[in-house]
Amino acid sequence: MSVASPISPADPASAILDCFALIGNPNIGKTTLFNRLCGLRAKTANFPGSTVEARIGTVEAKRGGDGLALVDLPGLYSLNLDRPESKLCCDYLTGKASIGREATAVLIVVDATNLSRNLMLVNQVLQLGGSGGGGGLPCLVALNMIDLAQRRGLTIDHEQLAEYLGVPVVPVCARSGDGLDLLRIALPRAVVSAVALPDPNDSAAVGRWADGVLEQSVGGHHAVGTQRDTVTDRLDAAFTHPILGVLVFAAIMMGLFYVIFTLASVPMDLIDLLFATLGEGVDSGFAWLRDSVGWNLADGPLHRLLVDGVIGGIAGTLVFLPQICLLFFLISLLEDTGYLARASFVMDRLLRRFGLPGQAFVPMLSAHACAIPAIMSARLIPDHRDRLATILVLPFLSCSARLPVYVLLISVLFGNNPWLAGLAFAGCYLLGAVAALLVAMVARRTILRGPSRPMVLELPSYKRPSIHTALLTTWDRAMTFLRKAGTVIVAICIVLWWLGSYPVAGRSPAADAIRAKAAEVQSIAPEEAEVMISSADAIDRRNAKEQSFIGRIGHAVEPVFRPIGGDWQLSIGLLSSFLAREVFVSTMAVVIAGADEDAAEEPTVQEEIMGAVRADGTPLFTVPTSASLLVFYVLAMQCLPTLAVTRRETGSWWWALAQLAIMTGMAYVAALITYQGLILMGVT
Amino acid sequence: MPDAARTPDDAIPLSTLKEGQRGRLHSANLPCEDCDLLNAMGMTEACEIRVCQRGNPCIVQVNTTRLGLSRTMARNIFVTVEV
Repeated sequence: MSVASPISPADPASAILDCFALIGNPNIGKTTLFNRLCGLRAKTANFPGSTVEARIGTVEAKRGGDGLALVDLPGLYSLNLDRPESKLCCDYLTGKASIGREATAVLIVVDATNLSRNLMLVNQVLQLGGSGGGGGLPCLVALNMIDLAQRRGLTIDHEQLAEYLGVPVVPVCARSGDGLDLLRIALPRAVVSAVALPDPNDSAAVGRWADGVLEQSVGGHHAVGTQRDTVTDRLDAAFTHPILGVLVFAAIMMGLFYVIFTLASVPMDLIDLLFATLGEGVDSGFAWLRDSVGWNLADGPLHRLLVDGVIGGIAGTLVFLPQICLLFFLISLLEDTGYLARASFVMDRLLRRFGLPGQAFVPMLSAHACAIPAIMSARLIPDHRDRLATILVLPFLSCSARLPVYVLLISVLFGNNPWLAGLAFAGCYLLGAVAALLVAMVARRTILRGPSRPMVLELPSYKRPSIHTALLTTWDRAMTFLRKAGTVIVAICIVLWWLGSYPVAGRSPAADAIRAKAAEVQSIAPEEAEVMISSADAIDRRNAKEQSFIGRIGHAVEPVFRPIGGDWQLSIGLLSSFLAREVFVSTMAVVIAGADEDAAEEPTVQEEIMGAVRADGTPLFTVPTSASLLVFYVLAMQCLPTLAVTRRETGSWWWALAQLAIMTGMAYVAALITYQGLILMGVT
Repeated sequence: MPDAARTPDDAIPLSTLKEGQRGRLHSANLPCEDCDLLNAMGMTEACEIRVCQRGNPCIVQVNTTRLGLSRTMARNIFVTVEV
């Protein structure tokens, strides 16, 4: 393959082409080309004030010299569409919007198998005013999927094509890497097109021009034009069938769900183990300092900050990574096969009745594992209002963090009846899903009012997915999560630790009295002494939690939670779990049983929690209280990291706070109705 | 893409075509932004459209581009069919 250029090599005195904007239609291998050229040398940036992203990478320069920057813009069909990505890309190319690197040239990716449609965007870009106001940007065309075009019987004279476009044309195959070396060499030869081009706003003229280019440059296109592809027809018929399509979709989504839910638990457990070991290492380090150089910092503020705050915070962030990585890896594979576009239509029939698009189903399903990667995956949804509605309701779906709470409360309600316990579990998931759909329906009629756009999607060809692309996409998403949301989550975990640890309470007199008795019997009955010391430690832990900031706040807000069956102990648990719901059981273990937080899952501790009493001696976890709490936990927004990600993905704190307000309000009202209703019915 | 305020008698909704049938795009009774999108996706004036699948979605092929259209959209796109 050779590079065809109608212009001689660029004048050395001309502008330095050090930053190329990569632009092209969706589904034509633009991202594959970007990944091939830049590999891991890329990061994601947002357009200011928007959630539209662009990836910025570095192309290694051939024949020495500095690398070129490559800005992968969102795929788009036209720069003139009334869509955020079209406007932002147009603004970026004309210098009105910035994402840190100003484009000095454009690399236009074109699908060799569908040249006539792609030429519309090429024509627009070639005539787009440059930032200097002196005409268009220097351009270069990468003619991708050249192998596929040849297999379909198309013969493209890229030298003739270059003559018509007035810019160099390089045939490439991004999937296999063919032609990429030539493309790297050709990049500095991008030029401003000087040929006569049709007015981009005159669609008839553009159409005639494109037809003319096709006639002169492409052989065999008449035969290929509307050839029937029976294999694709049959697959589409199956995948979009009202019954078979739903069954296929359900099977694929169950598999996705199973992988995310179960496979991710292995690396998640490893992360917990790694950081627990790291914490023990820090403990040993402090013990060594004390024993060797006399610095008695063990169990002091610095020690606890490092172990419980920082290490705990980092562990609390990294534990989300396995699910995020698995989810985006699998979505990338599914999308690459061409199946997801078909699946969107299958689910659109159902979800559109509730104001949600078909593409919302993948985020909704993955929200059952964790809402954070689910909210990030809502980027698949092209319409802005549809995307916001989806993000708003995703946390309603019961995530894995709620499971320990469900187990505890359902044990109280139906501990002796496994069938009813199972139904209650299913009921929790169903309640969350119904709440999500109803809130979406109301939101689309109120705060997100607007017509639902009839669905139109390009259905890409079915093809074997690229593992390489999926891995790079996964890496990019993981790094974005760590950079943007991870820092917030670490901060939240440190704050949570601090609120639960300070002010430091001294030893309680009751505990000291028990220790004194233990000392008396140590020599006679050492085992009994050990039990007494454990009991004293439990009293001190309970006292420390009650005296901490979060404990004091729990006492202060007890009147708020009393109508739904709570007391000061439950108030502490509820408040703690507003920051991260998974800490409810461990917090109750400390507050009620005085147990170490790590021992929360032990059966004896669970029994102690279930046997807890209020200040007046009556049982705490009665049926009305447990049912009310269960409903509250199904519906409440109790995850600050999720709020942080909502803020990032919506570009506004308003949506995150709206999400918190709606979910908390609904949870409280539903819990109130449940508790007071059961009391009125005489249930105890 | 011209709007469908006046359609000749022989322009029929795309949703009524049978599978395998071909038609030429005549007009669309859709908001401007949807017309612009369809145009940018390859559905240009007088282009030939082949129906691959009826119903919801209505799957059509325009040159080598395969598009899935909701039933609502397919009902509001008008084509002429050569007998």
